Amino acid sequence: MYQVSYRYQMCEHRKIIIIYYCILIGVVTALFISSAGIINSGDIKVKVNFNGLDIATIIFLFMLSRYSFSGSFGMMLQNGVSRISLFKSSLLTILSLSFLMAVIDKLIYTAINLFASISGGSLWVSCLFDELYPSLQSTSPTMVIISFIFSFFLYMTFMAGGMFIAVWFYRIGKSAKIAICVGIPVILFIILPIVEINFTGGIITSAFWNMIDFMYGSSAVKPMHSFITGLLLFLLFSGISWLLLRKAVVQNN
Amino acid sequence: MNGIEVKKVSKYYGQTCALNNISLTFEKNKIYGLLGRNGAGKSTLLNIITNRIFADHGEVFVDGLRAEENDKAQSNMYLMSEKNYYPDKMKLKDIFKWTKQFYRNFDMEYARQLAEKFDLNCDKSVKQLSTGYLSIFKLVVALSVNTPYVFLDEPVLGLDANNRDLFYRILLEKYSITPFTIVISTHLIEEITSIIEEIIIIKNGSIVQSESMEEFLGKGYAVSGPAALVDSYTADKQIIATDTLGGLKTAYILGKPENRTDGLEISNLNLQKLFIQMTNS
Repeated sequence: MYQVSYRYQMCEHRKIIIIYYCILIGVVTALFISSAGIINSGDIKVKVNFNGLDIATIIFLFMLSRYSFSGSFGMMLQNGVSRISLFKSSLLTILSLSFLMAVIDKLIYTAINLFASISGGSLWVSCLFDELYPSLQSTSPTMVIISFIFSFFLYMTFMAGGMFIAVWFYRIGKSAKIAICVGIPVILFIILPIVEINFTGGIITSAFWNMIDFMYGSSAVKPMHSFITGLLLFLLFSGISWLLLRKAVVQNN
Repeated sequence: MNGIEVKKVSKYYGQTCALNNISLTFEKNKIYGLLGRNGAGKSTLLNIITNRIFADHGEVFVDGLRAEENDKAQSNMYLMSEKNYYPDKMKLKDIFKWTKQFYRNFDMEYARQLAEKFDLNCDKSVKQLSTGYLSIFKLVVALSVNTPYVFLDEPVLGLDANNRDLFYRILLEKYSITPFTIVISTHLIEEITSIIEEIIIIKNGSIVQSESMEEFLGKGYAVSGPAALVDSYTADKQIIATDTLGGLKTAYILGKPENRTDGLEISNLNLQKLFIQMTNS
């Protein structure tokens, strides 16, 4: 039954993914046209760099995963699909979409950079991989593959994170949801800065960024760290999601 | 002969006992009426059988297969529930297509025919449907899935008299051609009296009655006639309820009718009267 559930989820996401890429390509085109004006406006050679397109994909996939759960859950139970089948199909959907969108993103980057190089080399786009590992920035096939694997693991981590939050929020009550939605920003943006400034002298923030740096191997220039981190986080989020999902029931309100 | 076996199922919501150690069997190819007052536990029972919620104790078996988290067992059942679990934005024709994917025996052509009979526009999305048409849509799916067991929880919610009548006729027509197990949970008791073969009454989470309609209605009878004669006749009998209209009276009595019924008319017991008597606390 998980095959049908998988087909359903993929089909559900198809339309919104097409819309996403239409918008993305539209935005990129608009940026190119507007930046072409800047480049050609004077004698000074101007180089324009776009980045963050894969961050947009990360946010998109996270939100997609976060908000598609409750609809799929009801539809599956209505059609006699067990929770374990839904879980299996959700994991397959995450892996498929992460792979597919990592491929599409790489194709878009390659196409844009190819177009940019043909048009004089003043425009180019860089992805998160290039930002984290500037010394590895290259158009060699090996680096393109490594960059693709990096995106794939990153996407799948955020999708699994989205699924975890979706199932978690589905299980908890309204008051707990409000407490989390209010509590986390208050802790991160009010309490933590106060504590850091007055008591710890920035140790917590520094330790956090050091941990992120280690997890993604940025300073050490080891993309393998990010693959392992992605895999472990994917397994962690998926595992917790299953523990929450296996006892989830339909809600009457 | 397996059917659906519910074995010692209990369910609690906090301190409230929704189902208390319930055991029953839904046999194959029979029409059941699942009756009970609001909050008696009917929907809870149906939701447990169809894996939507979990029992605290006990188990459910479908043709010998454990029902909980079992795709194979669940594929033999369909629950049309009061609440809608289909995506709001999805068009009905697309839901039919997906239902065909989940239930291989879903009859698309029959679904289209039923939709036409009920004047249901399949190009509409779920959120565009009124309460009545939402019920009709769910009924169309339930009647077209062709699973051995179909549960209908408040199937005629929001339906006008014409559509209710049409539904009952279609249900019986389908059942007469290809019998299957139908469990109808409803508050409109009078309307299903002529349809159901077996009756299950739930009260405060426990089954207080589970037998054939014939046996159930054979528990008593109704006697009608001039009020004075009826009063005289019923003086030493256990009366369930009475209806009075002008000088005429009808009394609903438990037990077997006497031979002496001069000037009185004896008829079958009214299911609703008996139900009210049994479920009044």
